[in-house]
Amino acid sequence: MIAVVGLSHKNAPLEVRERLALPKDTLPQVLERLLSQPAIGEAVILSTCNRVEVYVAPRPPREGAPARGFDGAQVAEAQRIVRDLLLGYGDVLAPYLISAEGDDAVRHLFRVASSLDSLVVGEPQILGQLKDAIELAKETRAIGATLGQAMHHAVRVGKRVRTDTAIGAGQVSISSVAVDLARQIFGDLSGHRALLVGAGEMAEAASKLVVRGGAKLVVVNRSPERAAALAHEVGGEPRPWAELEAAVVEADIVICSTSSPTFVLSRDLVKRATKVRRGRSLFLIDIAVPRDVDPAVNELDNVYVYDIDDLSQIVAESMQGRAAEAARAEAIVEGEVRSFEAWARKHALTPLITSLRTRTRAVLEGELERSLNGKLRHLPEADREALRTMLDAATNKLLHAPTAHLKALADDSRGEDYAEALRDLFELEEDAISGRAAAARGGDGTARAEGRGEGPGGADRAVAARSALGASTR
Amino acid sequence: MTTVATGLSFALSALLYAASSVLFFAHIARGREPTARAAAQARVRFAPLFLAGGAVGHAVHVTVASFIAHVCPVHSVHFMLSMAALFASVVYLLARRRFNIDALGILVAPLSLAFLLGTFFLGKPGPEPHLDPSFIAMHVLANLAGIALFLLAGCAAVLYLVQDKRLKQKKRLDNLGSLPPLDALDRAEHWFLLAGFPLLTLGIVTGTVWARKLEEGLLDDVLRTGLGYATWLLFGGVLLLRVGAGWRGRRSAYGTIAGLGCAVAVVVFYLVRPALALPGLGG
Repeated sequence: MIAVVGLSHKNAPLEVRERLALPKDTLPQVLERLLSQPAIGEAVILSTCNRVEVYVAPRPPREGAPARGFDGAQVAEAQRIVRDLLLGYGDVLAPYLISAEGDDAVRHLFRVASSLDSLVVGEPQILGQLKDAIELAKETRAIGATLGQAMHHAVRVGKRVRTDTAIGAGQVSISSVAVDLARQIFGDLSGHRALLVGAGEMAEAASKLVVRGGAKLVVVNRSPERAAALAHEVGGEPRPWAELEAAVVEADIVICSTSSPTFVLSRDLVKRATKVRRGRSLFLIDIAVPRDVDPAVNELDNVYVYDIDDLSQIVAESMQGRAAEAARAEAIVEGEVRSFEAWARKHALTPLITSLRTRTRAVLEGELERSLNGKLRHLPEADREALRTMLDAATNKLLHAPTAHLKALADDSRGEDYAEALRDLFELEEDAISGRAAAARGGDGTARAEGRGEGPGGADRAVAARSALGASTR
Repeated sequence: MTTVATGLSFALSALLYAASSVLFFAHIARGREPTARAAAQARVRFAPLFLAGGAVGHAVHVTVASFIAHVCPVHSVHFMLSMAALFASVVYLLARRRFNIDALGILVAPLSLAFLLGTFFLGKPGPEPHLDPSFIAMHVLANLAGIALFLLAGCAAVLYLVQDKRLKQKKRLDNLGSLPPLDALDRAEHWFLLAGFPLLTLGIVTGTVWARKLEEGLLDDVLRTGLGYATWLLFGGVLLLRVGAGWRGRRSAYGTIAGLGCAVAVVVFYLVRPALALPGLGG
């Protein structure tokens, strides 16, 4: 079972989302802080300009074993931890945080991956952003079997939705809408001046479109090297950061995408610029989160400010004719959620089946070894090996029917009852069985006791290591 | 025969102006569905043609009506507003590509229709007494051409304000491209004002001479003259502030609309005077 806590464009306005804008370079530290908590075994942070969501899975009972899932208390605890972490960025976020667990969390993840939860339904960026989030979690060793499988499945669902439906066809992008708006103000862009402040994928795409439209581009960046590289890439002229105001005076279109936590273009700066501009229209495209342009700038005469939400809203409105494709995509997502649930139920039985086999084999092997060391001690090695092979075959044959039956029942509500009955009848404990097996192979009780303790001990060591890592990076 | 011709040309002109107005409106209010957009785009191609047809019918109507009234259209203040609307339609048709102001038709076509109907139903044309016909012709021609250009400037200003509001409030932007770009509207407004102002000045000068010659000092004449000067001052002020103080966009648009309001009020005085049986003469 997985859980998710976060906020998105659906429930939180841009002013709130920008409070929670997590810079990319801080994400590993945030992941480590999460993993330092005993309740959380895996975590993935999906942080885009439209959403910040933390997906978590419980810590498995021992290293390497699949997690059996959160129980109610664990869900509450994990969600509380994530909420507390996110609220560290401001109490104002509290009413906007939403959470889901189990099938609902999986459904949400799949809808996000399919861009059904995006402001612009069908937009292609979200899948790449999700892959980046997974990659980062892998690098930070924050993702394991449970969340890994859910994320892998989500990416597959996202791809399938794009392939099997026309949800992404004739896509209108943020960049293209920004350029269309510029044309609504200036008409033909040739001869006009554009200014790119900062960097960013969307800003660069918009700049390229503006240049293609015939505008002359100036690039201003805090890093002169970056400005020069960007200018070279998009076909513009680099200018030093100190000349930002002068560049605004000359520009007709300004595209902002810096990672500055405060406004780069304040109302006063733009007001000073408009006085010098003598009433020429100025179009400011603010793609940054947090915003680079003070929204009050839009109140100035002949100045038009569009932030990421404004642009996305226009794109979304222009895409409203896609209801039929969205409905098809929803059906695909629903089918995939059911398929994932079935997989998750089967996956949850794996430790039980493994423990049943291990226990059966351990008992039989124990008896065989006792006989081979007693009445059958005269047997040559070849016969002993034949007996062991026979026991293996017998174990497999004996357990084949119950294993197959149990797997078949995984999709049934009775599956859990059968699993529970097996645990009770054979006194199985998934997290301890491997220890017992190891002990049986080792042949003494001391080893068994150590083996029993290996899981929690290992987990504790991992927690301690993560805590130390988290503390050092904080 | 001439009565039938004037009735027919009037009806045809009104019909074509109305059809053109509907097509322009349908284009602006087109739906967001691609098929609806394509259909509106295809239909709007006929709007300027209908407007041109309406203008031809309008010209025929004015000519025939002036024959019936035994008054040359440019010798009659009565025809001025109607002629101004006709002239504005022609200038719009010629300038729409140059200034990228196709959508201005949504105001030009209904205004032409309104002024055609207004002239038809409000009063009858009659000769303007006491003055040299060539003097009246100069006065009327200058004013009608000026008002035609100010009508276009006013239409551009109105559309500018609509477009500006749309872009500022970020609403109803799913239909991008249905209105001309802001800068195109501002530029068109400026050029129409610039072209109309010398004509208005000539109209004001001849009007002043006319008023001095008549010297009747009736209330409506005084009001009309006052509004005429206010018009000249407003348009002159807008042009001056555009050049001197960088007035563009909204401020300029409001000034232009105010000036046009005064100009139209002057002409409406002429139209309603006979209907209200007010005494007084031109100016």
